[in-house]
Amino acid sequence: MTDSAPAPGRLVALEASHSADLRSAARHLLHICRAPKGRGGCSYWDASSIFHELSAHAKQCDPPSAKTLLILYAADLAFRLRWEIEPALAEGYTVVAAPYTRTAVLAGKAAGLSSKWLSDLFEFAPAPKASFWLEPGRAALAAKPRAMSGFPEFCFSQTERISARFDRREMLETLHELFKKDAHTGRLRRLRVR
Amino acid sequence: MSSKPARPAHLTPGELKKIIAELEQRRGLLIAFEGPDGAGKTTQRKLFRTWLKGEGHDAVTTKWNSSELVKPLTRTRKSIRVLSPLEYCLFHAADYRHRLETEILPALCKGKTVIADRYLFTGLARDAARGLDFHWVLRLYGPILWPDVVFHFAVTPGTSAKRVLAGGVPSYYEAGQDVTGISDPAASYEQFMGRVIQEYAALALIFRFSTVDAEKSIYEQHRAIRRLFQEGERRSWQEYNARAVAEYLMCRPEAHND
Repeated sequence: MTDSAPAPGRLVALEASHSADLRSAARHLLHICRAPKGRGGCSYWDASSIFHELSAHAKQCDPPSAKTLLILYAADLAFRLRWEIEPALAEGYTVVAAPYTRTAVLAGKAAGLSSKWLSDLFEFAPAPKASFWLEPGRAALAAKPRAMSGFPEFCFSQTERISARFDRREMLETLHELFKKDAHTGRLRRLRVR
Repeated sequence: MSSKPARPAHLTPGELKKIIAELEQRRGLLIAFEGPDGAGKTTQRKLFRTWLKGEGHDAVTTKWNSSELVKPLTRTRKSIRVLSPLEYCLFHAADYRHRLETEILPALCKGKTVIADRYLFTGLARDAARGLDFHWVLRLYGPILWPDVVFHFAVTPGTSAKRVLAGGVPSYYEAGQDVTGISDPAASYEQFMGRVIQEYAALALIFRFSTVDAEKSIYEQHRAIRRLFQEGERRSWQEYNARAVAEYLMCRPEAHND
């Protein structure tokens, strides 16, 4: 009897401008996406603890720009791919990456960075089989954005320290509009969670 | 996908052009010291800085992997040997980016001469030697702020190994043990440094660095550096660095008013 290699798993991206409900939405999406009795898991932002560590000493330093933070996001994603996502996919799991690359790319666009540079940055990340946008409800849109709830919130809380031009709420609104465009063009499928 | 270069939304193209032209008038020089470990860069950088000060330059130094924001993150991960070549590359790029925006460009805009003890070419050489795609790494560091002068200290792998090993055992990543798979740090260093030196030689050729023969005596090297510096030409920001400066002004909108 020979061991047969497990069927390759399925990578699903769940992107969001407002991250407060992202974890529960990711678990919900995993439940929908995985095959009956199929195995699966979620991979979340800051699994490598980069941003947690950064938040502990960032106040004593010159604030990082969106570009610096995006490079660090890429480092965190590289870690997630290596230790969480790719091994799980190789075992045939369904993995919901929440968030994946599109959140970072659009956050960078909202901050004015070049689209080409942003897409080049994430060239190392495999394309997901499906991509969703967690459409925020009214409560999420109205809630005060907490810095550690997700990457966009963390990024804009730092850039807000650089200049009043980077107001956190306004930047999140811009990001929200970019997500709406992506959903409108069909690049991302909308996911609403009650 | 749009490939338009970034431009600060709060500035019109005309305003941006004017600001870059104004900065060009008052900016200081950016001088990079590049080469493998053990090439004698730090010694020469110190001698050069002393000489520059004597010549009336207000000179500051920035060192590779020294961002107060990013360095603690990198140090922790290096100590437990957990970085893949890709992560190693990204941490150093983030460190460079933060220093570029908070140390290098602010100092240049204030008219100071910035001496970089290693610049982004170190990242390019080491990451390419670790097997990453050179063009991807080059784009990661883009848009590049080109130095006015890059001094490239050329040594053989044997000389580099001899000098570094005289000071002790190189660290795990310095020796390239993460990619060579060789358990002996000295043997790994010599093999890895051979690759790094090859990458530097290619970079020196492509980007026309001012090469210094680092096998020569300290005094001879210092004389060569002074001569190369005096013969060198200031690199126009409008011509070479407009994109990099525009992106800086986008990320730090009030920077040019400081």
